[in-house]
Amino acid sequence: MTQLQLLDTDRLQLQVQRFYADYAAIIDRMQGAQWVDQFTHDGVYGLTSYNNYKGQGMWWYVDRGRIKLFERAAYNHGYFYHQFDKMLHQISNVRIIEASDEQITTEAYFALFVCDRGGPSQIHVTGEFRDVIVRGEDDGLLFADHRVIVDGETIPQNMGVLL
Amino acid sequence: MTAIDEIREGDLAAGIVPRSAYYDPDVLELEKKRIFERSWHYVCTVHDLKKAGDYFTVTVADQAVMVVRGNDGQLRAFYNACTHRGALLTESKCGSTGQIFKCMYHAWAFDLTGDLVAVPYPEDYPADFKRENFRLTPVSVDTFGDLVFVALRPKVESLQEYMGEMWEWLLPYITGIEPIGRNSWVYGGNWKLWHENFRDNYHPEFTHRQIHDMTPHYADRGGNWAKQPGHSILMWRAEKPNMKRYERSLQRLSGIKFDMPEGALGLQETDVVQGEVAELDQTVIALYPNLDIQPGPAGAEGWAEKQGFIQVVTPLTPSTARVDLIVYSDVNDTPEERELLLETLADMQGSWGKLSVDDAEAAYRCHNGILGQGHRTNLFTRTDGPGTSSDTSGRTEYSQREFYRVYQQYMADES
Repeated sequence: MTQLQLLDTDRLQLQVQRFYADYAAIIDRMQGAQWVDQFTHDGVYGLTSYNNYKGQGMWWYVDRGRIKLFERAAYNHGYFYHQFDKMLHQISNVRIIEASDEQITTEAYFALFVCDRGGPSQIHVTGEFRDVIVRGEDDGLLFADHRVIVDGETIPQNMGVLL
Repeated sequence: MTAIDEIREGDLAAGIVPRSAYYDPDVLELEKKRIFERSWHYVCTVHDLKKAGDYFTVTVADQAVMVVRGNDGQLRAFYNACTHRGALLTESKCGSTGQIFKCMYHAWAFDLTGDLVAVPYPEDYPADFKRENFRLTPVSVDTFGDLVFVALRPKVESLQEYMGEMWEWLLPYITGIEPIGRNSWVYGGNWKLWHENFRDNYHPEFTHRQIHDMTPHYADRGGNWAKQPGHSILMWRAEKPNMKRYERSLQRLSGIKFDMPEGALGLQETDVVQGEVAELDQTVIALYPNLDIQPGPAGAEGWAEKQGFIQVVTPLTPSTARVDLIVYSDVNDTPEERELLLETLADMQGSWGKLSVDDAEAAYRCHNGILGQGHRTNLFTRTDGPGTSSDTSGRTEYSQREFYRVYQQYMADES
């Protein structure tokens, strides 16, 4: 790889990491409409757990397109009776698997910490992202397809959260 | 009076249930012995045990059990414990063991009929050591449609007799189905609170905002049937969903403005005739003591009666329980149907589900309110007349009373 290619790779890595950091902040600040704006108009958001992912491939749900993303955001921002007092999404170990002019395929780890019903901060769930990211009109990044794979066949109550 | 006395002497069959039944540790210990050891328990489906050596494990009343398919095609169940020092023979939920279960501790080996077939260095045992005295301990096993059940010390020996009025009714729904996914989750409440919820057609329009917004009159036409012994059926005929009201409510309660044309979420109906029937029958079945089955609604497009959910609730402590969710579909799905279902079928249930998140919240809040020493009993007295069922109202509580009638019998049975 040339020096220029390395520099481009590092720039892309930094840009993707910033995208994930902004994504985490948007969810943690309960900015539902902005969360939808992190996706393309026909963006896809899917969640499942690891045992289903490596089994028959069942997803808990797959939301396709903007209106379904709005619906999902609304459930997790007040349509459900329970909301966490505070959330903190940590996204790390970001790896660019493949990059072209059209799209960037990435993987990352996440951990969600929550404060619930006046209690202390505790880890709620961990897992991985397997994403396809594209460039928007302003050259910013957007999810074309954001897939979340939660660790564990046994999961906690209150998984009505955005990840 | 102790909590156990309150259960023994209370009027549970009339729907007056002492709140101590939900949090007293002695009650849970007695439930394990007199209910969970004495009942039939769902393990898996026959499709989870396709070939010889395939096994599936379950814990019943804290006791590890496994079901295995034999070379003769038969299903057998045993305690999942080596007869030598008690080690679990398998710690996996399911798998395939070939012809032998070999203990990882001292390599004692058992065949698929439970016989002890190999013991390393047997010459060091006394002369009277006989392998046939150390067979795996069997457990009752039987099938109901495609569902596999086990029982440790069944109060009712025959699974068909145990299923009673449900046997003929439920059989078509649970034949020709196979699991497509599963998850378990733990919630902070007593196990009975979850199971009651699936016998309750009074709560959905209040607990589930989606139902309140889309189909608030869903239970105006429905049934609530106690099915002896201890089982129940809820049924309702759904109205056409009011998608505009649903969209408006989503935005109002979340504070998120959808920048999409109204009606983008669903049906483009300008007027929904209140209560207009959609010709859709939804059924929820509860089997004593802790199993719920929800087939798909009859008449729905894209969701058929052999696509649904099985849920088993297991007590962990008096105040926590685990729900095991199995999502199933028709063995005869086309690849296209299956591809769609793998993305959509699980959306409503599970600790992520659009309906179940609030069910679990209700169970949590009930449990934590019940711990207070205020009111002493829970109430399940709704009825629209004598007998065991209503064919006109889903909002009655015959189903919960039937559960507690049988619960009280089991808890009093000292045999």
